[in-house]
Amino acid sequence: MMSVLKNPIIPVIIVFCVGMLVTFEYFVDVPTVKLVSTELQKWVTILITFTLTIGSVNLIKSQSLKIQRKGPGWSYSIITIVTFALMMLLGLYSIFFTPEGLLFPAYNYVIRNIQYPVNVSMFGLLGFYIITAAFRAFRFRGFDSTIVLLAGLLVLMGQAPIGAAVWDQFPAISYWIMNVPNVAGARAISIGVGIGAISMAVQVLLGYERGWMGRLER
Amino acid sequence: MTILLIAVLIVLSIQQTVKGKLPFIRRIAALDAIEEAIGASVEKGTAVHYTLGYPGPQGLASGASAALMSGILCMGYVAEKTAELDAKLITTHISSDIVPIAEEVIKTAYLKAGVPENYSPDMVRYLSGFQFAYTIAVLGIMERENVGTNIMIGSFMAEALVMAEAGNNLGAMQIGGTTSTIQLPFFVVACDYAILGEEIFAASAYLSKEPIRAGAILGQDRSKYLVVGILVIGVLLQLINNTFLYNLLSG
Repeated sequence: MMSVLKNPIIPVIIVFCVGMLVTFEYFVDVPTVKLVSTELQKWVTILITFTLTIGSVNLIKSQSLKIQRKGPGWSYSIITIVTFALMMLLGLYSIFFTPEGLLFPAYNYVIRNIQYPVNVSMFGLLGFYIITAAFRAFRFRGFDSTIVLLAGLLVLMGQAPIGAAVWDQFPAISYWIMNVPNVAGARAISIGVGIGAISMAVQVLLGYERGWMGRLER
Repeated sequence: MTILLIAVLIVLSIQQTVKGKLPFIRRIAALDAIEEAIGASVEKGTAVHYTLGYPGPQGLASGASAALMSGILCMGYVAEKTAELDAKLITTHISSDIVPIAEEVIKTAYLKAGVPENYSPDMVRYLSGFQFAYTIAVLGIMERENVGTNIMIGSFMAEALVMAEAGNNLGAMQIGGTTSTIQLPFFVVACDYAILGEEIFAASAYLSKEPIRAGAILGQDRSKYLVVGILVIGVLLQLINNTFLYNLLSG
């Protein structure tokens, strides 16, 4: 029995059956198919939640190893493990011992006053990174980079209020650049990506591609 | 209907390639640069960092699964090269469902290279399920563990530019690839080499030279001819106010 379960063709058959069922939902208007497909997609969310355990174990293992070896930044690993344990205990306490569950004030306080501000700060860094990246990219180096520089400049002048104050055609030029050549290029890439995604789906469904099993070759 | 046509074209192309000769795939500089980058890392004694990016809370079940799959296949190739050249490999992950796949892929790559004893569980690190917690952790790893090569192939959102710029500040050689049209310009600007859009799907065929994957690329190219043909015919028909093709494709 165990040798049958270890047969690599079994996960391929499961993927084919489930994948075709979910795909059929888009082509047929049968209530049973839709019901089964919706249920399967809910199961995926539950299964992914279980994989969080694997991730958590991996996190604790790798941070513990760093502390043991006194690797670079090992003190941050102690903070990681301690905060992980504290949040886990707080979350479990909130769910099992409080009537509010995950709306428990202490739990929400940590999320809203520590996690959210840190996330938002990182988002804020993006603005500065865009400026440094643009400073490096917008140069008179060759024909292509000159086109990028000019287009960037025109769009910048069109988007900023000062551009319209300097010349009232900047917004129109900026609009044209953003909605004609920019959209054309993006759509061309999107068409290629869409076809590539279909190709990958066909390969996975038919068992040609087994990378999702950790197998790089058939 | 177009999806079915494309699927049939791809299957037929795979069958044709398996029975016949490999189609020509043009040179993709970014993929050729992977081995060069890993070699440079070995010479300088720096680490190689690989990330699949942030596909969203659904992980491999998200809409970006195709890009993730391609990223996993490229990760296998990178792992094989780091095994052959004895470079230090660090792969960081935000999706917990990819962790066991990554462990298996890297272990297999090291086994294939003939050095299974060099595989370390520390090569696969799950950092966090949250986008910017993961990004900050990656920045810390790149800084502390002396990353000399940063390869980012997969599905990315806002963290793409943050990681690419951090790698740039460290002087790391960077190769980036994603299907997101919003993040691609950031990779083009901040990375030394960029894999643009659909080239990410050609990566696995280009690196492995396997007939099935090469056949899929041939199928994709034929599908593009089909789509462009439909577009041109559709535009011409619309110009003469004929909506037959539009009605046919929109069902």
